[in-house]
Amino acid sequence: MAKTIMVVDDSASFRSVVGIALKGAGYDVIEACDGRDALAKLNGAKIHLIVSDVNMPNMDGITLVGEVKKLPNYRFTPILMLTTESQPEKKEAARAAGAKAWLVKPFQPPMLLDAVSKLILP
Amino acid sequence: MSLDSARQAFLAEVAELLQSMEDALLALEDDPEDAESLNAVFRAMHTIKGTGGVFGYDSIVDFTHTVETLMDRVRSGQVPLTRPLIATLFECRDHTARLVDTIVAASTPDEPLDPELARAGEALLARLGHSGGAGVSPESASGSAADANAASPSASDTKYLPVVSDLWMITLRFKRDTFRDGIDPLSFLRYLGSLGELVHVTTQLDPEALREDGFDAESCYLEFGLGFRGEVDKPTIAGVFEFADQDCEIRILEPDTAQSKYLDLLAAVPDDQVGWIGDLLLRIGALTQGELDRALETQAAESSDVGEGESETRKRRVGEILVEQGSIKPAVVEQAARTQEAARTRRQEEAHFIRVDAQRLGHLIDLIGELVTSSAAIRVLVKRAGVEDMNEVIDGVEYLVSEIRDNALQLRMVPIGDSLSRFKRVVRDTCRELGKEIELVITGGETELDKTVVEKMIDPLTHLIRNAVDHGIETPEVRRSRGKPAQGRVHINAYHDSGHIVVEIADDGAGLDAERIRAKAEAAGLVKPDDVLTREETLRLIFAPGLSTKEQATNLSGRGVGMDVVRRNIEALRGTVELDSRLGEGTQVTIVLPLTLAIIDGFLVGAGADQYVIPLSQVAECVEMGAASGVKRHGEHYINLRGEVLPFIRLTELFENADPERRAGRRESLVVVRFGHHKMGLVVDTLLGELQTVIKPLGKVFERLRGVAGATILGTGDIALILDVAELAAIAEGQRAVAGRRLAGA
Amino acid sequence: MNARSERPTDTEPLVLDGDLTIYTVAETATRLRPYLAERRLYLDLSAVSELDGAGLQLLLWLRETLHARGGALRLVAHSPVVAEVLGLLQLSGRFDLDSAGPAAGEAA
Repeated sequence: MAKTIMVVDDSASFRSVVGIALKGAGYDVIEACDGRDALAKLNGAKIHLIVSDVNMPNMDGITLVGEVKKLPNYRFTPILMLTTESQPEKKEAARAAGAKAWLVKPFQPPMLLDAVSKLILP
Repeated sequence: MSLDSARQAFLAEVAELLQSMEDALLALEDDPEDAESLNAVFRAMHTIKGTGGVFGYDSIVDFTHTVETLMDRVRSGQVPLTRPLIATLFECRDHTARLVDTIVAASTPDEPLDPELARAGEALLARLGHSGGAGVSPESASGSAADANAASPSASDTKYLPVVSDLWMITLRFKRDTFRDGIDPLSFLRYLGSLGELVHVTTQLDPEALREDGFDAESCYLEFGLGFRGEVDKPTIAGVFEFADQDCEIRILEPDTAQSKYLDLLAAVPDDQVGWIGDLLLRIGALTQGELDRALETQAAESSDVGEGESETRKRRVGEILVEQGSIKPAVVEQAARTQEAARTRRQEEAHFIRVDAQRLGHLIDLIGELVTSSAAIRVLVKRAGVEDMNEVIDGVEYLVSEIRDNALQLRMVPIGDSLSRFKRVVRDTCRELGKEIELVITGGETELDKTVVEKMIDPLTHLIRNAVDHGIETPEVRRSRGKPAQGRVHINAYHDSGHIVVEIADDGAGLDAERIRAKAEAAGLVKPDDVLTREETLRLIFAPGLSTKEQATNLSGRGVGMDVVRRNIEALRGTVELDSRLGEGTQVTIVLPLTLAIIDGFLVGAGADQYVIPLSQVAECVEMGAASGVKRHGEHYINLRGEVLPFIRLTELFENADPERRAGRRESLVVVRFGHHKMGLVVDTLLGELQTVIKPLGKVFERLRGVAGATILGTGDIALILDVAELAAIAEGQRAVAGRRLAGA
Repeated sequence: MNARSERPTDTEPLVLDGDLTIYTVAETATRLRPYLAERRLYLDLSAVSELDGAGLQLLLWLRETLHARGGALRLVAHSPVVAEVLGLLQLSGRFDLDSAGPAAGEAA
């Protein structure tokens, strides 16, 4: 059974490129445009990994991590934060909140797939 | 695989763990409930078991596992720690040490254990079971089955990693929060498997998981030992586990093949990129950032433990910590340290030397010469203007200028040894041609002098050395017949002596025959049969033109090129050459040269309408001519100075420039100059004092002007001639000879 | 999930199904504790749809704990997901499928 990955980013084009890459590697993909949208879509769905941007409207990535950690059915879900080089403090904040994996934007799809396969079994 | 560096690292680690175990046991004798010490004993056994397992040392694993299991029970209060038990644990500690030494020293891990050692171990374990079991815990009371089981946990269960040289050895010990952090160790393993081949995987649970009620299913107790084969480097492997860096203790030991690759890489690191040892190891991929950070933390923690003052001295080296934490093999650290050291040395050497175009340097020295002249000019102008306040400033400027001059000249100083070493080849080739055996010894090669002087003295030196080899040193047969060692010896020695460099060329050859020199000199008309000459004077005749003592000139020294040429060359450098020789014992030629040709400290004198500079180093003293001073004329060419008879020259006579306006009878001065061991007097009109001066070569027109080495521009703008004392002496000698002949003829 | 209190046998083993992951291990561990004193614990993993590190750890813990108390774990069947993980960790030997049917008699 294919594993499901949620991609959270406010850029639709980014979501679609990432989505294509992940689907191509055999994963199911759920897209969300910000933290609030992500929490809404988590409701009941089986998610194996959350890939989330940090800076987003409505609810940013770090808040999202904190919220996810409070949800019984999602609290152990691995979260891959997408950070930028210019925000080392954001990475630490994300780690403190519970996101143990990160990837620095910009990245090529193979890098994302590598990071994903370090986090979940196919 | 022989007793390799990884095993050595294991031995060191074991020694340390056993030491901490011993310390802990000692502490437990006083306080059997000290939790920290209990943990330390447990940890020691647990770690030795774990690492021993990676190496495939089953006997170590079996033994330590039993002790570890017991300690776990003691720790959790199931078994009381009695004095007899502590005593037994001490013995277990000692037994582990013996066991590890024996097994690691064995050629293969599979080598059967020495039966005696095995029996001792079994006996100890039996006593442990006895003293530790004692019906306290239900499990152990339930029978020996449990103990027996515990004693051989690995027989069928655990597959330990064999030590294979081309495998990466990776151990992973995950922390309790791993799963809760959303990290799944299996993903990492699977991903690693995609980079190569997971040849061996051992999976273990931390013993805590198996304790009664010790297991929390959401906590992670997993420990993995991996044998991995793949064409990857260490950072790549570390990168696999990057997301687990906070959740896992990772040790990556590279295969021997990688190690030799690191050694190669280390040797190839360019010097300018060799930095701190940690960076160096990171650079070649032998170390990961995480491993380095961990070692630095350890180092920082350790140094904060010790007292302020001691922290620097007691700080352990990062390399040491890296080896201890299993990040790297000692051989790699050692090579890194060597690379570092070599680069440091080379960099220092490079920092000491830069190549400079000799012409630029020459130009700089010329400019400084002008500066010297200019500052002298300022001094004159200030004096003329009578501005007293300026004197101090002028003093300062002159001091600086003289410092700059000295330093600039220093730039052109080179060790004489670099040029002398070429003579080894000359001597070797000559020996071969002549069938002689000669050892060339060079001492004082580090003595420095101006490069331009070195270049100009090479020719005379070559000539002298060839003379020594060619004419001086006898053939081995002759030497033996004279009771000398068959191998002759030519010794070149150089040293500084009051502003000059002295070069001695000594041989232990046949020496000069003063009789024969005398005879030849008489035949050549240089001396008359009734002239009385000292031995020294006789020997000096060899420097006279056209006198050769060797009946048969060889093709090496050439016919007709004699010591007179050597003397002329040396004297052209404002130097002197002396010779001493004893028949049958050898000859020593001593050359004294100024350190530099460019600038001299001079003594300015006036004679007639002109001014002259005498090299200060050659000025012995200045006295006034006159009855009161004890200076008396002694014939036409000699002067008596306090009982010492010296030849003299009157400069106005020599240069035919007597000042007609000068009042006759005005008192003249005598400057006593020395060259080598000789002295002579120069009669001048006025003494004008010391000055620094730049030597400017005279143009072609004046090339043949005798007694003058060069010219210099004075601060006043006037030109002064620099006197060549040695040449003046020769002139004086010539005049005497002429006068003598005249007298004889009369 | 089945939650039987009677002793599992090779013909009627203890069945773990669905996800055996970090989300379920706590609950599953609670289910397994009553069986830790078994001489032979028969386990059917053929319906396990997902197995992660936490699930694998639980199986290891079960096996080691039984072993330490003189018992043994017998897998009656496992799903491809389980087989894959055991294969990855080279644990297939330790969790060999129990083909020795007669062992049931001993337990009974």
